[in-house]
Amino acid sequence: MSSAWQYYVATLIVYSFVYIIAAAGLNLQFGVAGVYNFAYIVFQAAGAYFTAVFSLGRPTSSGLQTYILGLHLPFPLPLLGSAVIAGLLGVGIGAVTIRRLRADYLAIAMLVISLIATNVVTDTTSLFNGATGISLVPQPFTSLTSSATGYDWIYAAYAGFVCALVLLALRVIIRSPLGRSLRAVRENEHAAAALGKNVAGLRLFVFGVGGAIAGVSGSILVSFTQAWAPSSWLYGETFVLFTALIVGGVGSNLGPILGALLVPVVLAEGSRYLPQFGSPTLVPSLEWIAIGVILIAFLWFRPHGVVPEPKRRFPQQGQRPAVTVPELSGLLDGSVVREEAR
Amino acid sequence: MQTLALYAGFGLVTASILCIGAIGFTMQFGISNLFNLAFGATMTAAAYMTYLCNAAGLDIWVALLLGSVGGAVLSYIVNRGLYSPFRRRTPSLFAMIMVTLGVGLIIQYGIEAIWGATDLSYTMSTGRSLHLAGMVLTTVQAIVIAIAVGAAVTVHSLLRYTRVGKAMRAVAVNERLARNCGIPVRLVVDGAWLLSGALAGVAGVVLVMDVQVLNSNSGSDFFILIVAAAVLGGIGSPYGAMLGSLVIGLVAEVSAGFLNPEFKDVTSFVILVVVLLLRPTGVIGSVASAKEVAR
Amino acid sequence: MSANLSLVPRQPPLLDVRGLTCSFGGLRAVSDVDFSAASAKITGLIGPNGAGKSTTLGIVAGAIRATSGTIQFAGSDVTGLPSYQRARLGMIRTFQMRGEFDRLTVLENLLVASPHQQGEHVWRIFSPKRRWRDQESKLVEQARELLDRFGLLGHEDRYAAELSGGQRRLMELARALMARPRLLLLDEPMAGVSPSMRDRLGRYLRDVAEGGIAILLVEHQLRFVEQVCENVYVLAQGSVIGEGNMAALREQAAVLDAYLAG
Repeated sequence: MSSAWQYYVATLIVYSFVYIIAAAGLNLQFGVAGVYNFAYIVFQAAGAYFTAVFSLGRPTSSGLQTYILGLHLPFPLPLLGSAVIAGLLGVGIGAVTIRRLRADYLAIAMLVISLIATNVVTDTTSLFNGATGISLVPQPFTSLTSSATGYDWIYAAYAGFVCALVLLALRVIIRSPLGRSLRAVRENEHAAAALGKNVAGLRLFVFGVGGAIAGVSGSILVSFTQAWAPSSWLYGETFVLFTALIVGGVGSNLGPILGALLVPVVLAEGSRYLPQFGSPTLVPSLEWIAIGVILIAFLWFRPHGVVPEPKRRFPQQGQRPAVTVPELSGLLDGSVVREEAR
Repeated sequence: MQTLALYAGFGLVTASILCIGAIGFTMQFGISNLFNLAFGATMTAAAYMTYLCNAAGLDIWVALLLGSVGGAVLSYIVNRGLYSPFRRRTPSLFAMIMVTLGVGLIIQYGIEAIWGATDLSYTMSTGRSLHLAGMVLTTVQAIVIAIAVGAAVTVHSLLRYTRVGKAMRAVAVNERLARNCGIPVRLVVDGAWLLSGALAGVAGVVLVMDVQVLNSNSGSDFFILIVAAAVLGGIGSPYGAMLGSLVIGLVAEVSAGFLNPEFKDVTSFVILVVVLLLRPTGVIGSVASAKEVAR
Repeated sequence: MSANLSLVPRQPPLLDVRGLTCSFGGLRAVSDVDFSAASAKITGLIGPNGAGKSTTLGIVAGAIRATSGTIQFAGSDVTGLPSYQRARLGMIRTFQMRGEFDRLTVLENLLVASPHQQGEHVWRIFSPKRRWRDQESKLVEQARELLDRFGLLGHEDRYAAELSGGQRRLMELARALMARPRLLLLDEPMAGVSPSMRDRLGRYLRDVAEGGIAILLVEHQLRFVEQVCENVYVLAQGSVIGEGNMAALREQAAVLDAYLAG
């Protein structure tokens, strides 16, 4: 395999893991807990920006870019630190949802927050170098190899490792009673509250954890591409992830994996194989049109996605409990059948 | 003081464009209970239709009329073909908003696929400079303000005094009750989408007339300000839309003039978020409360 | 049946509501209402449509905010508490309609209700100890017992959305019991339930109450109320117009007037 090809494949693999992590985080918020976080991409951006300014050294006065911090921290501190910050940011923005807005109204509020974030970062160059963004971000563990191709493969393995950890942690949460409570809140928040669930607290929890996961995806991406700018995190990217979840299916981990591979990866990378035709903006435009069409098609024909949420069954343990009142259950069954006619 | 009047003048122009769009947007919410995130793209589409007519040699004002018809037809088709069927099928408000989003993407990037990312402009003259009470406006801008006032008055008269208008208000408040009273709901809804689509078209065209630049992002960039105006004034209420547009338009231009011009959009966004958090139903909250946007 | 021993000091009732008022818009839905519900007793709340019964229940549960009045539960003032905290104190309500978790199975619906689950704490689910799994197994057994009692055991793996109306009622009742209530607030539990099942469930509710639980129910089915409730409050137009057992109430003119349809 030529080195150009290796570079391409390794890049594709890293991007795939990044998208899977991002989709899995949004799945926790939207798929499991029913939280419509249209500002999701902001948390990925936070993870990327803070990893960048944690990894870089102090901005020099003659330097071409201005940014805050610049702590030159060694791996894995930038990753961990930016994940924590993204999580805290998640909790902060999630506090917006305490105000009980209806679903689509809330989506708009989050969308506008995303726009405000983009505007503020673009206009305040002292934060993250404004519209130009930050580049020349140092990469982690470069001492392991001197070969550029070798490094790409090592990085792909690193991305895969982090992805596996994230998916495992999410699996534990989703399958636990905590995950069940989140799903209950998603289904009927009033009934959940009536059974003692702290709905607001649970939502803040998924905002925090989901935000941190988004931050991790951003961190992995920026340490690979070594650059990050507002154009990397336009509000449309959140739609792409939502589409990925609607296509792949929500609830379990498999849906987000499938959705992430089908939507962002196939769409984004598939276009590279197409011969360049028309103007340079033609193919990206067609990609966006495809996303719109796929979104609407799935919402109509298969709203639960390719992999719908699996049904949780509990194994039978030994003896069945004794039936207490035979005529009661018999009569109840009979009465219940008569209910169907109502 | 002189600069204040100057910026207020610009504010009035922005408010006028906002007003036309916000009335349309809020009307769609009122009649169909959904946030049409494809509204901005509809504005852009109408602006491009006007461009085609204008480039073919038609006078810009005639082209404006044709563009607004285009907006009306497009909105009608989208509602009949997609929004209505989806609404009947699913109660999920989130799914609806995703559908409108999908439609918006298709329209906007359909335009970009055809015309590319280059900026275009209309063939028109902006007229002379008018000086009124410290404001400096071009003739075109003055006409835009007049169009907005005309649209507001027309909508007000329609809703207040005509049977169709009253039927629209009834359907907006309670569709089932309206149907039981014998109101032909489907016709009323169609009419509302045609009208609001036409307003979207006019808003898109006058926007381009004002900024003198047309590209595939034109409508969507401005759209969030329209949402801000409609929500601030009270979503679902056309009078709220008028009020919200005035506030947002003036605040945007005056703050841009006195503070950093780059913060023009951000101030409006922040207002929107604050309204959503503190008083989601907006100033005139009757329709919004009836539709339970916040509990 | 039970002798009223005057030597035993009188306990305050488990639920004590004083001066409850609720107005929205210009409408007074509930007006200066006093009532109480005692442990091991079933208390009824009846009245014509629009009398404010469901609103009252909603206020007690914490879903609706009262304009004024106090609610004492298990000795503490819960008037300002959010509904989930009242539920944690043991006040469990059912819903008149749409109270289920549609895309959870029947068994999961019950499991969600169980309080103090170890597996709901994020640090516990990641710890290597199996404590929460053991608790979960026990809860599954308990849930199955309850489902069996209500004849729903064969449906444990169905989504709640697939159940019929009557089955959903039963599931909600089973779920409320799973939550280990001290006070059950039942909002029209017998609506749409057949007469024979009503009788059986009435007897079951008496068993539950005898176990020490207080039950406050809002109902339209007067015969059921008579069969099951020791004490009944009559609400009309937001105010209490009568209190006592059904036999006595039937005599009161005010009560008869309120119930034009009888």
